[in-house]
Amino acid sequence: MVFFRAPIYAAFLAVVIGSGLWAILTIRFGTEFLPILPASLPSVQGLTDFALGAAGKDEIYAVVDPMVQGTERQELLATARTALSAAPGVERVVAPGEIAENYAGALGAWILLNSPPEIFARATGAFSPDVMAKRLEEIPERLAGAIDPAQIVQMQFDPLGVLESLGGERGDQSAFGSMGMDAGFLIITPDHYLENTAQDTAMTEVLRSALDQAFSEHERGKVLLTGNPVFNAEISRQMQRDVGIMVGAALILLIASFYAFYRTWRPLGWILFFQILAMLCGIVAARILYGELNVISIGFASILLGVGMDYSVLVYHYYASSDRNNAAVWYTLRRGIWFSALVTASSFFMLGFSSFPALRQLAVLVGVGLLSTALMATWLLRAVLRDYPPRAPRVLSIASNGTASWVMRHKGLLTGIAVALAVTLILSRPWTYTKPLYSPSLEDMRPIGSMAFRAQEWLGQLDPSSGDAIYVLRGATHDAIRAAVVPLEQAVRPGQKGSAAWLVPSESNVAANLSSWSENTSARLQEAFERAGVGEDWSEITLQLARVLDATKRGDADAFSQVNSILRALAGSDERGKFAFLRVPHAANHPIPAGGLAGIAPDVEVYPVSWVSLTKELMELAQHDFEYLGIAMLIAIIVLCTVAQRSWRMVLLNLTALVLALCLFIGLLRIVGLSLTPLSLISIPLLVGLVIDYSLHILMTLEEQRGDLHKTYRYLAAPVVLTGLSGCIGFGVPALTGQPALTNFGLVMDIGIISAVVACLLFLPVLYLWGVGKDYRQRKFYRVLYRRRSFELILFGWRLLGKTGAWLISRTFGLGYALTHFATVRTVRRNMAMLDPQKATYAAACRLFINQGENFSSYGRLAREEPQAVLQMIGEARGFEYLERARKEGRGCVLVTGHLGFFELGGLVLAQMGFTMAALTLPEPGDGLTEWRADFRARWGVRTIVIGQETFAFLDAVRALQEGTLVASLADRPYDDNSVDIALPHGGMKFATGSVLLALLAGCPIIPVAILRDPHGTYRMDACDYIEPTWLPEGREETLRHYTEKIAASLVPIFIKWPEQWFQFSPVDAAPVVRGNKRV
Amino acid sequence: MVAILMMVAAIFSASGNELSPAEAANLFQRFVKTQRALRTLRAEFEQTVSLPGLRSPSVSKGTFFYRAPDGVRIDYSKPAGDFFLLQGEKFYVVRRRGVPRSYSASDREARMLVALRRMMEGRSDPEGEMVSKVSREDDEYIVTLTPKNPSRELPEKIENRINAESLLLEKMTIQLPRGTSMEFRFSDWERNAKIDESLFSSP
Repeated sequence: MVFFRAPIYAAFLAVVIGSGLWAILTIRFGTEFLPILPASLPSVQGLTDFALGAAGKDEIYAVVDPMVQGTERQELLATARTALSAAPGVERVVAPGEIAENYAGALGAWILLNSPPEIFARATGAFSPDVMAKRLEEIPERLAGAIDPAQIVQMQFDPLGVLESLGGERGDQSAFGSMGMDAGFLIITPDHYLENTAQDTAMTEVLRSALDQAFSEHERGKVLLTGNPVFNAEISRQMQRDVGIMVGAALILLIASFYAFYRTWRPLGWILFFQILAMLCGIVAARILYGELNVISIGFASILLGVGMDYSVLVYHYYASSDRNNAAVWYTLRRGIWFSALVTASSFFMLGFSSFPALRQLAVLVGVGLLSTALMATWLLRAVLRDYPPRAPRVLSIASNGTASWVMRHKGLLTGIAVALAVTLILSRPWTYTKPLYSPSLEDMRPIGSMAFRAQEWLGQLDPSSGDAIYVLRGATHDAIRAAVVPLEQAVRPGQKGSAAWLVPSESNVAANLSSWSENTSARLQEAFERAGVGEDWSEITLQLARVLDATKRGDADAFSQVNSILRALAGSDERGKFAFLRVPHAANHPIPAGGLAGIAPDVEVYPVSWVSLTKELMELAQHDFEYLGIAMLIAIIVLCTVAQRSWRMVLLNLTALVLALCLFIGLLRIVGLSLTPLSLISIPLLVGLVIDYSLHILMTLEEQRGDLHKTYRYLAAPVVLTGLSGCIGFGVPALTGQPALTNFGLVMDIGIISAVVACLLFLPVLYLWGVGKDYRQRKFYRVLYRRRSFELILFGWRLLGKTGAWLISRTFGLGYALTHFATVRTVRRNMAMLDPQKATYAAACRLFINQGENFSSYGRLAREEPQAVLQMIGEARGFEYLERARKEGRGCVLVTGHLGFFELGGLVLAQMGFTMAALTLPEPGDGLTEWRADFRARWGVRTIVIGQETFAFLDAVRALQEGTLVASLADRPYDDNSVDIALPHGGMKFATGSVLLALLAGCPIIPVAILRDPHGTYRMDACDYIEPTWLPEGREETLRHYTEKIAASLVPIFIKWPEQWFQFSPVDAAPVVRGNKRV
Repeated sequence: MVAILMMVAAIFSASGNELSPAEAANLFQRFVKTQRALRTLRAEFEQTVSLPGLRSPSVSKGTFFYRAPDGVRIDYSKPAGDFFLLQGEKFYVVRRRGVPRSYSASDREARMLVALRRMMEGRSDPEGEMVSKVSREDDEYIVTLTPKNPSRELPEKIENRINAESLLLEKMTIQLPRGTSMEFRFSDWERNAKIDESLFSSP
């Protein structure tokens, strides 16, 4: 097996699998909802504090259906209570009001102790012996006359009227509003802390089982459990089920779609294996960095399957195609995969700066997973497929070609559609849509079918305080918090009668009141009650109150232990300081006052315990994140695309694809009637990554294939469609869970993927092709101006304006051409980059055009000067001994040069030096230019031989050589297939073999020459070598190749040294020459 | 007093001397017809409050007044000076000739008299907080009311004894939590007698 051949493979697999298994076995599933939200949000802090403090993290509620009333409700509660109390692990089961009823005295003591001293004094004044005796005596009288039954009960409860003193403070407040005996639910307290989800699940199952046994099937649905542990257990179970469904269904559908495309199993198995390895890498990252997966980040597996598959499919497709041995294609593909992975991963890593912890986790997991997938695809999968290359079904190739042809034929239509799409969307003013694209309500994220959630809703209906707005107040002291209560109440509910400030402890009041309390008051009161003949029915609560105050006076820390569960719901202290919970009645739907909560009390922090305010805060934060992260992501994409493609045009095309995809996305959302939720909002960065992923691949391949859409589609169309399909499957599968939040997320992502595929596969290539540009010889400038009359105009210009004027005009024309012919400039730069990328700057390209303008202008100079005088234009001359040697031997020779410098001047100079010269040329475009140039050369004594389709011209050249003529020809722009590939430092080009053939037939040497303008304004002439071609035993082709390479070996260094005088305006590159795994 | 109101929203069981649905309906019709013909109603009453732990119950006496359509007054002669007054949407309580405390007819304090007034008008209880059972015992109808959802806001049970002939309330017993009870005995009922209008003026 391939992986055992090289130890590094086996070692890598062992590490990944081993660490992955460790991570799976030790990772925790975080089921809590609040930790996935930003802790800095006031509502999150409030909800968290309330859940940990007041609500009792481990408390479970058994709730009766609010529709059940009367005796049936009482019976259900009684049965539930009996069953739950007997269940193992249960410490107690109480009705909400029981504690308050049974320990009303203790509660009363707490309230009094924290009341202002004047109220405490007024209340406890009833304990003075005289007052007490009088009040007890008056009981019968007080019971007579216009008395309400409630007052009768009150009197029995509080015969001395101690708590009447508090009456005016409370207004409409009811501290224990949720604690009525008739509340319809029970509170179950476990006898041990529930420290993890496993314990939550175990406890919940015990209680469920107890209820199952106690009730008939008909009754069972009327009593449900809820509370933190129940939610955790249910979510955990749901998560595991959902992950199983999502991954399992995704795998099945992906296998089916892959097989439908490629009709093969084994490579698919490998691809899935490596995808799973990539997921393991993500899980390892989660385990190391966070220790858990939460309800959001659990979705990374599905996302990876959808997004990461395309790398493997691209690699597979490469090895299944006829280009599997084309190293250059592999080079481009691998580069594209890695850049795509980097860009997509970086767009996810941007989420790492999100305010949402859950998104930060997801970002890291997906980013790590994507990079791992790219590694697996380009390294391990390649190793497998290289040894067992697959074959793609022909139908894919046929379909790709057909699609490419269709796109080419309908280029205009597709462009029109793309433009219309963008314009339509902008004109429709999407920012004014009545139904918003984004719906921030957390209601849409509620789980359905959740028993715990249904019970929670029942609880909300039964709890009379469910309409209250709740707040957590934090301060240095409870006194400070207490002082903030009234301002807060009035801000939230102006004009509210009474205040709940009396429910907030007060250190100063306690200290003052305790000091005025006489110890052992309870013993004295007991005696007084007994003397008055008042039994326990009357005295119990009052004595309880007094005993608790006595205990507190003595310093008993457990004085209020019996009512701790109630007091915990009021106030407390922790490592952050003092806190208290405040309820404002009837304000649940508008908990935040117009001026906000900050600044209501200077030294007190106020946190709302409200899903209403949380929704608003999340919306604002998501919007803020979206704006900033969106910009950051865009910048990252632009930077990475620029690095990848090194072309602003390509970057602009990438961004255009993004805009078109978003237009399609928004349009489809409106048609389908979907809105984005806080969860599906994260689809936006995912989509951005996907679009850039596809567009990078497509544009890089189009560039590589020089706009050949058929080849591009052959490489990419099937993989992109398949990966788009796999992406749709990967994201759409969560809809199977039936959860509204996941269904919405899946549908939104599917719409996004469809938009990305259509935009990148159909519209993007069309937009690219519009900008490819024709060859410079097809352009109007060339066709109109490269004519005989233009050269005559140059001559006239020289006569009229002289050297300076001509200098100015030629440079202006050259620069003007550069500034107006972007495609040609790009081509020139591309050619220059093959010699030396450092020198392929825009400025260098402009200088090249200026030099060419100078060359054309020089015709005017040559026309004005005497032929002898042009010798003064020559500066340095090297290699003339080669020419002299040929002359001495009486032989002609082929002078080979490139479109380099001012090669025309070379012919004139050599003619003046006494050499017999001829120039080989192709027919010039337009009427008369060939003849004009031939006449021009003739004045210098240079004969022109026009070659092309005619064989006789070639014979003419051979005869001229045999007669001792130096025949000049250009080798770097072959006009037919008679050429060989020549390697350049960063690319390759073709050299014509005609010169070699000519020399062989004529039996003469070849001298590579160049004539270039040096910085002093003169020209240097180089004769580089003296090549004697002979027929090699390897045959004609090898002979031509061998000597052409020798010519190139002389000329290419000159091209490299003088790139600004190498005038190639069409792409010169052949496919790059690659040996082994590297470009040569 | 609340029990009387609940009599018109009856749920009947078919056990003991309980009336059949047809009998209950007939009784209801009789009652409504009688009440709708009322312009005033007056009776003497004795109120007894018994609590566990109290040596002897607390006894009060007074007079009950009704003036159609919306006036109810309960005047105490012992102790003198106490009264309840429900007139329209206002409810007043005066104890020992003290400062009147006023409430709205929708406040908790006014529930008892509001329910009573509703019964006097011959109207049913729209909220349906109590479940009623009607039975016959000799020459009395016994209307027993229990709350649908037990609450500290409502009594545990209310038992009303009504003269089968005249359909006038003879005794009402309200059972409160912790063994407390309130009993009202009515006598000397007068229908449509002249009543001093000033009794229903705001105090």
